[in-house]
Amino acid sequence: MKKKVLITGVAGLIGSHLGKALLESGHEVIGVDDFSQGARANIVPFLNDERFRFHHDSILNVDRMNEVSEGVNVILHLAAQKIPRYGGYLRTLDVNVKGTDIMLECARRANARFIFASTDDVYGKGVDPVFTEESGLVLGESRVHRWAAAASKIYGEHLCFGSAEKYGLAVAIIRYSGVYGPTYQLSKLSGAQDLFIAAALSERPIPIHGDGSQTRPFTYISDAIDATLRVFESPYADGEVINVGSSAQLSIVNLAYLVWRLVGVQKKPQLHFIPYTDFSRLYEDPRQRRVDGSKANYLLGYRPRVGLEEGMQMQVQWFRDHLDKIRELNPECFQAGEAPKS
Amino acid sequence: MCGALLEKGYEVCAVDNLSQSTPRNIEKYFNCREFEFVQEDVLNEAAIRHLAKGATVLVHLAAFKIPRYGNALDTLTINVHGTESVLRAARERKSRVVFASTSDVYGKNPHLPFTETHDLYLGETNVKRWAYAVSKIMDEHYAFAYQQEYGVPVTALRFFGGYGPGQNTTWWGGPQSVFIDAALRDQPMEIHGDGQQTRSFTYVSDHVDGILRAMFSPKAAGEIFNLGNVHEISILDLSTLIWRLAGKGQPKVKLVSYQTFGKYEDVRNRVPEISKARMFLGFEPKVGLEEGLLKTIEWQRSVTNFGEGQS
Repeated sequence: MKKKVLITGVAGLIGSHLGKALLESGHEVIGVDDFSQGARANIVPFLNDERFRFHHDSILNVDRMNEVSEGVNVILHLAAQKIPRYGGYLRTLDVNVKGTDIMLECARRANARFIFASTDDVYGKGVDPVFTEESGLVLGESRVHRWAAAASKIYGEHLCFGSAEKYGLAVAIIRYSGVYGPTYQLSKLSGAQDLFIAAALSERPIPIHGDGSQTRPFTYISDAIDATLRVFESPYADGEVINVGSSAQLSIVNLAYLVWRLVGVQKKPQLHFIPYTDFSRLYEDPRQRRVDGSKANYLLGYRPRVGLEEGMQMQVQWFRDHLDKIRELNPECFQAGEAPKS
Repeated sequence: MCGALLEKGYEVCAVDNLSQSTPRNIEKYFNCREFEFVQEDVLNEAAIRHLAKGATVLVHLAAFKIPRYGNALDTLTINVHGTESVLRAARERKSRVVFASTSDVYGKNPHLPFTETHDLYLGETNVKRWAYAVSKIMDEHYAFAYQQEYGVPVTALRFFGGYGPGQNTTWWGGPQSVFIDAALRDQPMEIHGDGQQTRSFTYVSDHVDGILRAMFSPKAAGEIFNLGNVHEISILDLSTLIWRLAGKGQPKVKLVSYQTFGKYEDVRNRVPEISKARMFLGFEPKVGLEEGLLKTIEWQRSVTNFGEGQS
């Protein structure tokens, strides 16, 4: 059945690829983005699709959200702010907390299913060696701003379950892990690999936070979209939290080596280590993060297909093929001195 | 709080929507010239902003809780919106904010006792008992964001098991409330789980003392403090102690399985480490558990209606 779908954060990495996939499957897509993180260039390929309607607006604009969500069957709520350590502490909270509240209210009015994009960041400093959906969620001190994003996502998940309980809303929660892929927006949001590729392409040292031994999972966008479509199509996902990622994980230093090699720089890799204390008082980075994907596998039949090296190779190719445009939209990432997320 | 502040000569504007409390607790101040009571909801931003005019400190204690009995959504939204309403008022009125967080934010952290730098260890998000802790963690982040972005001085106080005269006499007031009620009525005390979970209980005058110190200490801005009594007791021991102090015979206990709450997780042990409040604020709890419980039982006896079908 063709559905009318609202995607918030449609110009972001996941949003834009998801919008494209849903349009290709014949659904009607309404997209919202304020371009605070997402890039217009990401949605240009389907901007003129007659089944796509775009609204350049903030999800905090309640009246507008009520308007654009009228009659939708599903809301995919991907819009979020991240990384308050770069400032915008209050805005991060507002977008994630109030924004989710507003979109849930829209879902209630439209009687729409609600799919919420959460993150493996909610596991925080979790003690389990591999995080399953049942793992404890461990946050550091509230005075450390870094934890505001994770706390706001945990809060968002609770809002979803609270709305399900109070109003009978159908909600599904996806905890994405380190999704990367073609995007024109090289914010700190899109992860370390993009900034590493940008650095390697300009033969600048790759900036690494801490000692770079912290490990992270990396999930290629086509896998993340595959999983999201399964959640979208399957009633099994209702009322569930589902990890969506890949077992591919590596340390930040090894990621830098991989990127350097794939870019093919003709000299030894250069890494520039930046102590955490340079950018935030009391900053803490989770040491390792491995996420268990069995639930998505057994419940939805999802299995990540793109290997790490293959995915990174495609990402490097994407950069090469679109370098001028990427450089034009993200000049700061190609200059020395920028401190990316790692 | 009201009594202590009025005694010290402060003017008090008191706000409550009386959803979980009773005017009986503040009646005695109604004739006091320095005291004003307004029945209002903390969610009414305009009203809070208006009432905050000229206030040097906003003490924000209003909250909603016990999501395990339903209302997870209300717990989440009322607490966050309420705290924001207070923070906005403080920003406009250039007031300080001292607000109530909770020991529940430490969740399942197994490392005891809890210092303020301990990790906040939460369970699954589909277990609604965590909604209260999560709402308070959000409150803390909102407060620190207001301090950072607007310069509102904020202090978060993590209370450990407050009790005393004036407490809500249902589960809202905590286990001691319902144990006392049961003991006074000679009915079985309902204990959740096996009763071996431990808690710390803090007499209301000690909490009030801590709040006052935080309100007026120049060192408290931007800080989190545990406020609690470090004495640890199991829930089962608490129930039998209350039964004894109430002057009853053999304790009647009824164990209630957690399964009756749906998907649930209890916090096993909860004890504060209070060196920070000691060092920064000179805070020292003074009232022991037996002494505090005796006063509380006496008070609760005086306000309990033992008539037919009353609660």
